[in-house]
Amino acid sequence: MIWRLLYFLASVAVVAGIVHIAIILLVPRFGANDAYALVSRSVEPFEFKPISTTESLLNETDPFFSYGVCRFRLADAGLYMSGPKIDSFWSATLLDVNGSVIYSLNSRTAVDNKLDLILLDPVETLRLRELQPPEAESAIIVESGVEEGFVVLRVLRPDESWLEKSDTFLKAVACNRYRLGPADAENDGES
Amino acid sequence: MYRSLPSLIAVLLLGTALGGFSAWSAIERAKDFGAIRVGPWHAISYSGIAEVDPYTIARTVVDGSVPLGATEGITFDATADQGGKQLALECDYVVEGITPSAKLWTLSALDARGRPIEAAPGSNSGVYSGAILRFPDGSFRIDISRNPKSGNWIGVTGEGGFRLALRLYDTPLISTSGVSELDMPTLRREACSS
Repeated sequence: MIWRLLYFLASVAVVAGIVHIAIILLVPRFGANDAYALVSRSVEPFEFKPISTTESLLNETDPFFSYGVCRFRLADAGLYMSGPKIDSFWSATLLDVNGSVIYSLNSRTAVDNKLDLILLDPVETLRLRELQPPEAESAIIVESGVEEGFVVLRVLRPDESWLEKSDTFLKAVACNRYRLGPADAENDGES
Repeated sequence: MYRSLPSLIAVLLLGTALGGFSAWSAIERAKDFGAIRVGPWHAISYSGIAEVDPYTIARTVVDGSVPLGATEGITFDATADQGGKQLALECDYVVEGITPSAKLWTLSALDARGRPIEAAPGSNSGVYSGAILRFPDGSFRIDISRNPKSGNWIGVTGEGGFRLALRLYDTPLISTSGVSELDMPTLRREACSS
């Protein structure tokens, strides 16, 4: 009798363990409320969208910052993200569909305080090194194996008087497809 | 083997319930795993770096938050005061001292869902490091209260629990390992009105 009870409890523990692990690993795949799900509902790929604070596109935003979001799909094309020079502090995070950080940078780590970033998959990164297009000289090149993801850009806006500056900056940020040309390093990133 | 179908069903039901509950509670408390703790403040040290454990990933998916990347900064949360009592809007609090070095930081009062608490008239529910008054030695004192205060005042409204988020931007903190030597401000409770 006691052995049957122990056997019963052991079976329960094994089932519980399997269910536990399955839930933890499946939540990222099937979660519908994560940041990427919210972003992909209202932002098209290769579109940059400034977010007003009243919109609840992102959770846990800092009230002293203005935000913008850009979606990318590396399966289609690389990402070329650029912005004008601004003396306020800004930072950007590249995230995958699970909301894990691929890469992050801030205005101090960027070249000349300017947002200038190219995100490519490993194959395209190799081609970029070969072709050495002019825009790659000043840009930060990020290589990533993820297929899809998004970029969250934050710019400091401590009070209303900074609003105009941060809005102008966010409006001027470009988030475009980046393709390396076959031989000559043409791209449609600027278009 | 099981001799009866009922015991097999019981095993499956109990196992599923137990596994589901343990997974749910692990996700709920994922913020506590591997967290940096200094007094009442805690921060996830791993979110924002490539190797994130599956629990933290599940947690960020569930609450939909976007972590700060390692070169961006780090967020310290406090849900209780220095004495371990839950933060309540009915009480006055004093945040005093200095922060670890950072280019800038913000301190804001948030509700349970991470949105800013509605500010009291003439105030803001947060402060920004570039716009606060400091003592000659660089330290500061910030009052959190529903009633107007002189000096740095985070004016809140409403009642019930809340959370403080101290976000340090562009800080060398994450790349250095001396986490135990962090100079975080204290969070003291003052009078409460009922």
